Amino acid sequence: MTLLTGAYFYPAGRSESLPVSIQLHADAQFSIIDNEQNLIATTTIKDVVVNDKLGSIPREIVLPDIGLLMIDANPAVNTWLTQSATQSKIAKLESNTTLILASSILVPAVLYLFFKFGIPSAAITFAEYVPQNMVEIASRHTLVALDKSVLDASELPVETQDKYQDHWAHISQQLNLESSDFNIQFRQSKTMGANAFALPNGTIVITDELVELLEHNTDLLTAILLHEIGHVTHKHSMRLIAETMATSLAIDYFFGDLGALIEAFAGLSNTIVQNQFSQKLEWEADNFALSKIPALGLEPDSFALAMEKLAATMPEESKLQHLIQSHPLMRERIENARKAL
Amino acid sequence: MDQEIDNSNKAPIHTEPQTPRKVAVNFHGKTGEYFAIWIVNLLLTIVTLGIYSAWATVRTHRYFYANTDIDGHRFSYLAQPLQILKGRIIGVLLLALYFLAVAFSPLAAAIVALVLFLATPIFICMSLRFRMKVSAYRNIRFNFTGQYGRAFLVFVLLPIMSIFTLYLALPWVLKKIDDFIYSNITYGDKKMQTELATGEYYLAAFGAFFIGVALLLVAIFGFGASMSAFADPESASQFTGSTIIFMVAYVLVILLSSSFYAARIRNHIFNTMRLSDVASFESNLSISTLVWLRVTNFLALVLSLGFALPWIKIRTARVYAQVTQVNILPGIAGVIGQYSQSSSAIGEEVANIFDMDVGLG
Repeated sequence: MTLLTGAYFYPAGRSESLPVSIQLHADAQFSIIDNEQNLIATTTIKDVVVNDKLGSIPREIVLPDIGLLMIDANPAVNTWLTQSATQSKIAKLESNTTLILASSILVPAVLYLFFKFGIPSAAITFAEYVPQNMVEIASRHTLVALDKSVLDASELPVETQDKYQDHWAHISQQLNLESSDFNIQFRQSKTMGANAFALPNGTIVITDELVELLEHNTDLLTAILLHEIGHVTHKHSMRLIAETMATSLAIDYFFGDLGALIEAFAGLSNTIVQNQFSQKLEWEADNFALSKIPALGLEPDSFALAMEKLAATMPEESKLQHLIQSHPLMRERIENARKAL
Repeated sequence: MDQEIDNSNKAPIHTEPQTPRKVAVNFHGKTGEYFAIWIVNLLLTIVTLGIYSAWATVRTHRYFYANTDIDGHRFSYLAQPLQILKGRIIGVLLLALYFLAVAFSPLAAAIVALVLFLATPIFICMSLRFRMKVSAYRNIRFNFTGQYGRAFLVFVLLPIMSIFTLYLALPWVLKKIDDFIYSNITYGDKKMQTELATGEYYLAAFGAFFIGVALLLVAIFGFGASMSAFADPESASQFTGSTIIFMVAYVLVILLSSSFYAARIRNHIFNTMRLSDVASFESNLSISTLVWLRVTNFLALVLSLGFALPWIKIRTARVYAQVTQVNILPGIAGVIGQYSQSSSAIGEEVANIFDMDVGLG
């Protein structure tokens, strides 16, 4: 007969506590005995709930309607409790040295692959399945919101606008694109300055400021337009939404519920990961534009020149900056464009 | 059932000394042991595409609760993984809904944000109630009895109203929030009593504010002067260098002033709250301890690329335990569980459909 000492018994429903010993009998029976040798209860291991082993925390044994037994997790106690039917295998895994070492390598490796390849390819699938009418609504609402905030009506003369529209209708024909897939609009924007952006339904907005900056050079404007068309045909907006959402969820899932500074770290990683996605999409759009320029008969260095003019309006960039911005470094984009010549 | 109770032992069990005594809070968790639990559970979570995270959370909480002892008795964490999973699925759905709304329509996003904002008090109450109900000490559960109406007042209406006082009333609002949280905690049939002082909240909040402003001014003038002395307008890395120094200074200022507030208020709450005749509490967390803890935690996390997380959690729990004392009062053994009709806190089915902690963590 074995005696396990150093346990505490907590009777059900009251905060009393009692130092006790556990006496083990044959047939999985056991008795709880207090320090004055009074018998508190006798039961079998089959009639109690034994909480899973976890590290070296004390073992908890629930006696339904009677109370709770807590005892330090020494080897004798652990051996006794292996008879319980309610034990899972997880504690074994958690103390398996090989698995711990393997996990230390596999966890970062799998997370890296997940962020690098898993999320982007899932995002491409997601982008394919977004219903067209949702894309339409999203784009319209966004344009309305922008028109009410940072965009004003274009001050370019109507003839100038028409001239560009005709030219670009011709370009989209040459690219075998439906002209209804794209809707080019001019706007003025002091806030955005020289800029162009695409909405997922094919609306492409070009600011008066950009037209001014590129000195009404049709080839340069077309090069920028091709970049935006690249965003639209590759469904970049939807991919970015999916990627942003999946990354935020994943990072919250793994790093959530922590202190403020640690959350700042998680937020920072989130920003960096998302910027990597968004920069990748910019490269795709750049390369789309570069691949189309020769066939369309534009000046070969149109895209590089346009980028150079834009870069001249921006403050100089440092190497670390690519971590904190959504677009690749202008310097590298220009290099890439020059290399394509 | 093959069980028998010896009825000869009917007299109340008196093992507790009758005089009040001050005891330490001890934390027994070990970094190595917890690292193993953490990394294996993380792998299982990834392999199961996140589903296992609910089970992992339960194991983590059990590890920290059961390693915390007051007066030789350990805490118990009693949540069921499925309850956690349910809350987490709702949390993910709400966040996804918000993301999609933001992505697809600014109008829809505004509506979703407003609804979520108005629902915040409900989530906070549900979460507090859940966390308290699944915590037990000496086989007696805690609970949270705060009502939604009151929660709406302290978490939504008062903060909005404080804007109109140019935030001068904000410390008072923060006191009301803490009062709501702590005075609604129960342990068995005993209710927590608080005597929070508005003056202390004003001291802590304005102290934190002035520390922040003063340090920020020092940082701006100090660094500004040294920067202009060395500035080389040709060099782009200079720009990044000064940006980084400024960001670090900014983070440090926030850290110092928020630690001033957090340490003072934690001490104040612990030193004034009590469970009548059961226990009173003491906390002497110094600002320097908290700042040092947070700075070293952050550096360790970044430099180890996240691998130091188990070490951080263990040492943080240890520091908070070390600065906390409990005065055990004679009534400690006389608390009656709220669910005394049923067997024991552990394994007891008190969950209903609204018992969950909506969130991702």
